[in-house]
Amino acid sequence: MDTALCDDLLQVVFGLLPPSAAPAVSLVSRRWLALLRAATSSLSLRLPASSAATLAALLSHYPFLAALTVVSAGTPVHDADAVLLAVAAAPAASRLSTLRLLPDWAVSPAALLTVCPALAGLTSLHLTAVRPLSFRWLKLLPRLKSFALVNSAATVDSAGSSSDDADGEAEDVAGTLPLEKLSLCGIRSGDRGLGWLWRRCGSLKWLQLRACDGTGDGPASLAFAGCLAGLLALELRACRAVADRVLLLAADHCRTLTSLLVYDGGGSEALHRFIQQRAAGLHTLDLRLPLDLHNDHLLAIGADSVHNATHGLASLRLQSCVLITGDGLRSLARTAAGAGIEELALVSCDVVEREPGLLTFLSQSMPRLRRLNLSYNETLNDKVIGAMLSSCRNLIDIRLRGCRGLTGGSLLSLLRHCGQSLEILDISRCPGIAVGNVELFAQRAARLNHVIIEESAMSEELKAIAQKKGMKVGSLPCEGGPF
Amino acid sequence: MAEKKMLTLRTSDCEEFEVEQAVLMKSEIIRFMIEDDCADNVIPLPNVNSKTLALVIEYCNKHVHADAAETTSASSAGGGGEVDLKKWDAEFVKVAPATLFDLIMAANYLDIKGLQGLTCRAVVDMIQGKSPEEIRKTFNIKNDLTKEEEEAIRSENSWAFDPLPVRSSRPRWLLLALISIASLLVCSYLLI
Repeated sequence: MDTALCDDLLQVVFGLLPPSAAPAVSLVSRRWLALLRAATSSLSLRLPASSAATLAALLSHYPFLAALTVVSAGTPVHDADAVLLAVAAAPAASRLSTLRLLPDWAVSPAALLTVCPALAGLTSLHLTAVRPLSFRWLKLLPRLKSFALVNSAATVDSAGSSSDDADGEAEDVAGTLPLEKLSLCGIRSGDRGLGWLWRRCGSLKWLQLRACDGTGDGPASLAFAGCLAGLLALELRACRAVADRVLLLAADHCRTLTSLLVYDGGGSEALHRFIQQRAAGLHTLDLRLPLDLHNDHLLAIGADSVHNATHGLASLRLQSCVLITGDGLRSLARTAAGAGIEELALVSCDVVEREPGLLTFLSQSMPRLRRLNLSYNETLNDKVIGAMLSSCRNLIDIRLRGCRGLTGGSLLSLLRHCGQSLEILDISRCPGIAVGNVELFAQRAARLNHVIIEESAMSEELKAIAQKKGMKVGSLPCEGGPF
Repeated sequence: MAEKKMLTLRTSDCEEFEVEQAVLMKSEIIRFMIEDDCADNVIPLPNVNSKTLALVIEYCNKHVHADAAETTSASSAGGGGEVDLKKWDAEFVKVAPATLFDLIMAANYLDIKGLQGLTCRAVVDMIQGKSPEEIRKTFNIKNDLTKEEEEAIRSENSWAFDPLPVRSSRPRWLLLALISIASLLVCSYLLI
């Protein structure tokens, strides 16, 4: 029967298999092994040491790869370049659109200049480090739209060692890079070569800075501001030292910004000014600022709508913002900005636990609310949830992860008020909710298609209900970044 | 209601099936023939045998009538019909592997998208979570890999991993708050 299905159809079947099934399939027969490899378009590898030659041999089996991730631990310094060269020599090199190369050591600009012509089809690239820091090789990737770099501090860069130092004026007329998404980690203010990059990022739409204390080329590099004009989304994660400066520049230059994320570091005053100047255009605001977010910021978000009736804020996510109070949230909820909110996250927010009536007020003031995330509010109880839900008629997504104080009563309230609309429910780490309540909810909720719950809390009955209704049940896969 | 148009299909083993034309619209191939007015009285299907075609017609009948029922009762309880259809589909593909393969090839030949997806996923379910030996037994495949080849493949497999990145989702505000408080205390102490 092995020849009953032709190669094309068997490859279709293999393409539908989850990655976890590949090892067993590869050991069935030579034919299945060859077809599985031909059907594999995405591969993630964790290689042992001294592995460039091994990688080359392995990649020769996969002629149709489109996405490759290589993780390498303990690689000798010179091998990082060898790994990169092995990738460029693979039969699938010209087909690759996504490459993530994560050896622990930096690759060199010389190696990148050598391999980029063979990888000209890349649209997404993720590198752990480039040493010495240089970006000129990006010109050799004409389709690259997404680039992520971790500027590893494992080695100390000597001052002025970057080959991009001598950046002639004549070259400034060279074209803009096609980059639309850029993520940089670990950039310091003294790093050289960034100016070359910023001057050519006029097409940027999404920028992420992680654990950066500067934007390179000295404390007040002017080139950085030039790439902000077209940004749609800006993320600052753990950039306390540079967040103020970036936010002030964003306030002045980011005319089209619709999404801002600031986690773990950001001055109150810079954020306040940004909100005053740009909040009207924001669609999504995501903040994790334990000690830097105050009621003044919430008032500023709402106040702006007095001047601009077309306020578009749809998603407000606050995490661990311990300094805001119920009054601040109520003030925001009363404004036009608050009325337009469709997604609200108050994750690990003391204010939710301190003021039981707040959630009810918020739900009554936000008629468009569809998605609600109250995760990690450990003292939240059924009574508060029940009172809130009586005003939530259209919820489709509710997350209550880590709300240890909840019991089955909350699920009954949820079924009563949102049983006809809810599609996604997250009740992982809610030990007070009995499995019988979950089963009843899964049985009765008409549109439910995803329940997020620990494997250990899943009963056979719940699995049967899930299979019968075509629902997904299980723990949530960790959310990866855009790369 | 106008009289239903009928078409006759002839299988590879020369059996003929008379089927409502509307039911056969599920097949893109036949739909094009009908719309281009190329369909003769009898459509030969040399690649499909009678046993398989009977099942294909059963599937098309079920789904065409389910679509019609859904349109009629669009305003009433929307969830029930869909769930029933999923249950019916699940039962439909509980057949022997050889029959399932025949269905896949027929669905591919006739270009019936829903049946293609359903049958391919059924094969996936027969493979997923099984050992190589179990898979060989299910599909009657002979193992032609040598011991050395198997060892090389196992070694290669040990390097592959699921690409989902691991990232902590737990807020770290407590640690940050403690660090900030400690910093304040140190500054206060130095100022004294």
